[in-house]
Amino acid sequence: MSTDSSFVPAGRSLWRDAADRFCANRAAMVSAGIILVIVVLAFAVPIWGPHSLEEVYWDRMLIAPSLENHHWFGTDVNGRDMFARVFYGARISLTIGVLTTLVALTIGVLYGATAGYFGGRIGAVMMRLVDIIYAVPALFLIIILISVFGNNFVLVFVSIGAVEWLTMARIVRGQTLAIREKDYIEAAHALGLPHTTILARYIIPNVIGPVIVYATLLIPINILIESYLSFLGLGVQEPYTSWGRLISQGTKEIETGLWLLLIPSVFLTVTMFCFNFIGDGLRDALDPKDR
Amino acid sequence: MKAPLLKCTHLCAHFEVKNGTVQAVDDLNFSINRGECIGIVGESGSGKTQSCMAILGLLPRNGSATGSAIFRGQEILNTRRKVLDRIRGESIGMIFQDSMAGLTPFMRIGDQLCEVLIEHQGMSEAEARTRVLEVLDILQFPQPKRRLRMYPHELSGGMRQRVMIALALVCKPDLIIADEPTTALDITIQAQILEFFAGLKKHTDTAIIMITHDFGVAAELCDRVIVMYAGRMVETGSVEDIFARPQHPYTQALLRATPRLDSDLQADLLLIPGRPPNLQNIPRGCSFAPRCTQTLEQCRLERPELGNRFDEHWAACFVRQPQ
Amino acid sequence: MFAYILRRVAFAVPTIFVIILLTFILLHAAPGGPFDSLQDIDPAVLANLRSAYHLDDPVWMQFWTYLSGLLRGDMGPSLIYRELTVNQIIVTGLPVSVTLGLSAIVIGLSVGLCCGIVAALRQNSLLDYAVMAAAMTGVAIPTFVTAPLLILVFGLTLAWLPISGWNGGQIKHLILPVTALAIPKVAVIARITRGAMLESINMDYVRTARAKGMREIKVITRHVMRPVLIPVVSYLGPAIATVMTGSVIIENIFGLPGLGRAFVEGAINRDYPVVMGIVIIYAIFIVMLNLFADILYGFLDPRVRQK
Repeated sequence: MSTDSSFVPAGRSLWRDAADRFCANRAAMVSAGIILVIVVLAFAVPIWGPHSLEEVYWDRMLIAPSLENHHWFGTDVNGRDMFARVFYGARISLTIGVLTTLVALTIGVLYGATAGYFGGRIGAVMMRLVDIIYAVPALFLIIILISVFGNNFVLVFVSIGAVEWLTMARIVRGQTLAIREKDYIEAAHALGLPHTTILARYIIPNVIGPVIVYATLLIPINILIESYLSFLGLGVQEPYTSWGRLISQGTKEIETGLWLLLIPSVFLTVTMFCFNFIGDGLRDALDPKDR
Repeated sequence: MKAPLLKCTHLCAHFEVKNGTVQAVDDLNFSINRGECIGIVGESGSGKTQSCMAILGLLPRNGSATGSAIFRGQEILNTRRKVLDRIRGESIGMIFQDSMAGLTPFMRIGDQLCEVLIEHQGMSEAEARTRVLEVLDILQFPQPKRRLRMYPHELSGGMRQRVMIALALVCKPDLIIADEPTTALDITIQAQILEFFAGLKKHTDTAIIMITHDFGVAAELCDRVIVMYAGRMVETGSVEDIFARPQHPYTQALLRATPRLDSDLQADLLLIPGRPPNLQNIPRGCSFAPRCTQTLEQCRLERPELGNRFDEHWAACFVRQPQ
Repeated sequence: MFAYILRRVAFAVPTIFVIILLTFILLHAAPGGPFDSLQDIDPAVLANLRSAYHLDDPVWMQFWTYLSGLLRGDMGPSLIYRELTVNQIIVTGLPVSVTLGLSAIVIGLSVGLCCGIVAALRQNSLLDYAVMAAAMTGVAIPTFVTAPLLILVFGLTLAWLPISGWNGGQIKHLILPVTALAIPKVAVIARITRGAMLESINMDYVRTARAKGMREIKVITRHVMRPVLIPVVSYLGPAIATVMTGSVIIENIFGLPGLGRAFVEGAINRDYPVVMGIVIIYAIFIVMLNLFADILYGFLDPRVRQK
C-alpha cells in the first residue's frame, strides 16, 4: 500500500472521541452541572449556612418556605431549618450513594471478570452463587444485614454494597464472556500473551465502558435504597439525616406541611434524573451505535 | 425495440450523517432488458450496492433517493410501500451479501423460505414447501427436506448463501439483483453458484444485475458491465469490449489488478495506489484524478461526463486511449 | 427443550436450600436476640422462654430443627406474637402482597409493551419523546414519593379513592397502591421495549424480510418482535424483586396488611421465624418466576437451549 501521507487520517484515541460525544450531549452536560452545584452546596451549606442542622426554633415550627429569617425551605415539625437539613441530607445521601457504588463496583468487577475470563467450572460455580443470592430481593437482604449488624453509618453502606455487587458482577461477566470469544482474543492467545496481559490490555478496557455506565446508573439506585431504608426507619439514625428520612417525616405531615415532603423529594428526583442522564450520556458516548 | 425491463435515470442516493451528507450514488443511468445480465463492478464504497437498495426502497432511515426507476413501465422509485411490497420478492428478487446477518436467526429457514410464497402467491404451507424444496434442489442444496427445520446458525456458509438465493428465486421474479453472492464463500461453492447463474441465464429470461468487485465473475456471466467509482458511473459497455479496450484509467487499473492464470506468478500484484475519496466531501474535478496515472490539467478542474467511445461503449474521461 | 427445563428445575432446589441456610446464619449471627426488648423480665422466665424456643441449642441443631419443621410444612411460631404461628402470619399476608405484586406486573407488561412499541415505531417523533420523558420520570421518582402524591391528589384533594386500608381487597382500595407500584414497571418496560425494538428493526435480516416483499405488520410480528421480548422477559426476574421491594414501602404507606410489613416488623424485632418464613416464601416465588421466565426464554431464543 502506498504510504502517501495525505491519505492517512490522523488517529484519535477512543477516549477522546467518547469525551467529545459526551460533551456534545446537552442533557448530560446540564445534569453534570446540576450535580456539581448540589455537591458544592452539600459541602458548603452545613458549614456556612445561616442555620444549623439541629437548632430548634421553638417559636417557628412548621413554617412554610419564606425569605424571613433565611428559612428558605421553611422549618419542620420540630422547628428545625429545612434548608440546612436538606443539604445535610444531601451530603449523606450522595456520600452513601457513591461509597456503596464503589464497594459494589470493586467487588463486582473483580468477581465478574474472574468468573467470565476463566469460565468453565469455576466461572459456572461463581455465577451460580450469584444467581442464588440474587433470588432474594436486595432490600430484604439489606434489611436483614442491617438488623443483624446495626445501622451505624459505615455498616449501612457496606450492607448495601455487599448486596449490590451482584448485578455488576453479572454485567462484567457477561461482557467478559462476549469479548473472550472474539477473534482478537484468540489471536492474542495464539501469540502467546499471558492471561494477565490479555485481561489488562484487551478485556478490561473493553469491559470498562458498560461498567462505568452501570456504576453511574447504580449511584441513584443506591441513593434510593438508602432512602427506602431511612423511610422505614432502618437507615441512618439521628443525628444524621438523609433525604429518605426527610421524606419519611414529610409523608406524615402531608396535609399540614407539604413542603416537607416536596422539597427533599424534588432534590432526590432531580438528582436521580441527572445521574440517569449522565449514565445515558456515557453510554451513548462510549458505544454510539446503542442509540 | 422493446421497452427495457428496468430503466434508471439520474439515480442519486445520499445519507444524512451527523456532520453532513454522504453522496453515495451520483447520477446513475442504465437500463436492463429481459434475459440480460449486467455486472456492476467497483470497489467497496463505490455505490454499487446502495444504488440497488435505492431502487427497491431499502435504504436505511437516513438515506434518500432521487431520480427515476421505471420497472415494467411503472415508476417504482420512492413509490408507496404497498406497491413496493408487491414487487419485492415476486417481480424483483434481491440476494444480499451477508447470509449470516441476512437471515433471521430465530426463524427456521423453511419458514423464512415459505413465507415468501405464502405472502405473494397465496400458497398453502404444503404447496409452499414443495416449491421451496424444488428450488433448493436446483441449487444443489444438500438434504433440503431435513434442513428446512433448521435455524440459520446450524447451516454452513455455502448452505446459507443458497438459502439467500432461493429466497430471491422462489417466486420466479423477472429481475434478480445479486449483491456479491459469491464473496466470502470458498472456491468450489463459488464455482457452483456461478454455474447456477449461468444456467439461470441460459434457460430463463430472468434479467440479472450482478454486483461484484471481481471482474472475473463479471467476465463469466455478464453481457454488459457498468464500472462505478465514488458513486458515479465511469464506464459502461459490453463485457468483451470493456475487457478488450478499457477506456477509463480506473477500469484499466482494475483489470490489471485482477490476478490471471496466465500472468507471471512471481510478479507483485498490481495495486491501485491511494484510497477512494471521502464521499462527504468529493473534490472538484474527476473523482479518480488523485489516483490516476494519466491525468491532464483538465482532470482536476472539471468533472468528465460520459462520452460515447464506440458502439454502446461509454466512458467518463478526458483522456483518449490509443486504439 | 425438556432437558433444558429439567436442568433449570434441578437448579431451583439447591438455590432455595442455600438461601434458607444463608438467611439462618445471618440472623443467628446477630448480636442480641428476640427477647432483648422485654425489659424487667425475671431471668428465670427469660431462661425458660429461651429453652422453649430452643434458643440455647447449638446453631446447627437449631437449623436442623427448623429444616425438619419446614419439610413438614411448619415454619415455627412467631417469637413476638406468641399466639400466632408463622404459617398464620404468612397466610394472612400472602394474598395481599401477591395481589398487589401480580397486578403491578401485569399492568407494567401490558402498558409498558404498548408504549415501547409505539415509541419505537414513531422514533424521534413528539410521541416518542413524550413517552420516553414520561418513562424517565416514572423510573426516577421513587415510589415513596409518588405514593403520597397520588394520595394527596386522588385521595385527599379529589377524594375519589380511599387512602389506606385493605378492606378485603376491594378494587377501590387497590387502585392507588397498584398504580404507585406499577409506574416504575411501566416505565422500565417501555424503555426496554423501545430500545430493543429500535435495535431489532435495524437488523440486516429485517431488510431481507422487506426485500422479500413482506408487509410491514408481518415483518414486525415475525422478524422483529421475538428478540424484543427477550430483554422484557429477562426483566421479569428483577421486576418481581423490585415489586416485592416496592410492596414493602407501599404496604407501609397505605397501611396494607401484607408480607412486606410483617417482614420489616420481624426484622426490627428479631422475630427470626417470621423473617425466615417470609424470606423463604419470597425466594420460592422468585425462583419459580425465574424458572418460568427461563422457560419462556427457551421458547423465544433457540440458541439458548443448547447451553
